[in-house]
Amino acid sequence: MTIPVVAFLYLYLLFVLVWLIFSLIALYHMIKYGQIGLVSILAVLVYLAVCLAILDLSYQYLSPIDWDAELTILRGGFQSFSPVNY
Amino acid sequence: MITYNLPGRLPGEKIIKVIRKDFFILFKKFLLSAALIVLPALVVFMILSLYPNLLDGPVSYPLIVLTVSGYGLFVWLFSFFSFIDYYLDIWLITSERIIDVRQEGFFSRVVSELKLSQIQDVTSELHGVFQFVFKYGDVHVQTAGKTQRFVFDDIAHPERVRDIIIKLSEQKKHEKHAA
Repeated sequence: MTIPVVAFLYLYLLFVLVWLIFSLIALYHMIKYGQIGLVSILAVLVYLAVCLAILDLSYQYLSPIDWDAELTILRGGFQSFSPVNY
Repeated sequence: MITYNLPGRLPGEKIIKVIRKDFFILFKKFLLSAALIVLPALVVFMILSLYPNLLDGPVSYPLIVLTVSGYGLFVWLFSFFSFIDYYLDIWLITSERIIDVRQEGFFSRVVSELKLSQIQDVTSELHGVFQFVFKYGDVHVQTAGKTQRFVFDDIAHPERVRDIIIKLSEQKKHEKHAA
């Protein structure tokens, strides 16, 4: 049985979508209830900056990957994740 | 002068004190977030030391990058929400009432209030080594005719807060009797 590596990318993108929704909820709470002040503005800016840094770094590492590769599992009985695949 | 948007501000109402949980509580949340980053990073480092060719694999490399990226985003969101939980949990002592604003998780926010004239008993508590050393603890406010107590938990200098509430409550009762 083979799983295309791109399937993991789609799974990751789904996770990022859920993460984005929760991030927007968090930012909404902070902006609506946090009272406009230095601490709340700084917290929001730091959060956004680190998020962008993580996403940018991830993109840099993910962009050169060949997504056509496939993961073969359960080849030869229960010897999953055969060494030739990694 | 303390500025804060009071929910349902009463005429002539002044904010006496804005209270959040003690800074040590935020520090504990920060330590938890740091542990969530450092411990898995050590595990990954150990695995990669044992199997260095994992970073060269056409399958293992994308899986490692996707996992690390997803985990990083998750921990960062968790840390931000821990901060929000600390920052938006607030108690306001005004010249008329005490307001308790609590952020409970992602979808729950509770605002309750108590009139100073209703207060019967105020107790401050410090339990345990950390609370004793870092001078933080709880203040319980008992109202007339109700069994439920109003609790300020893990706040800095609970004795001082208790004294402020008692003083304001006595003042309010005195004004009420004089009127």
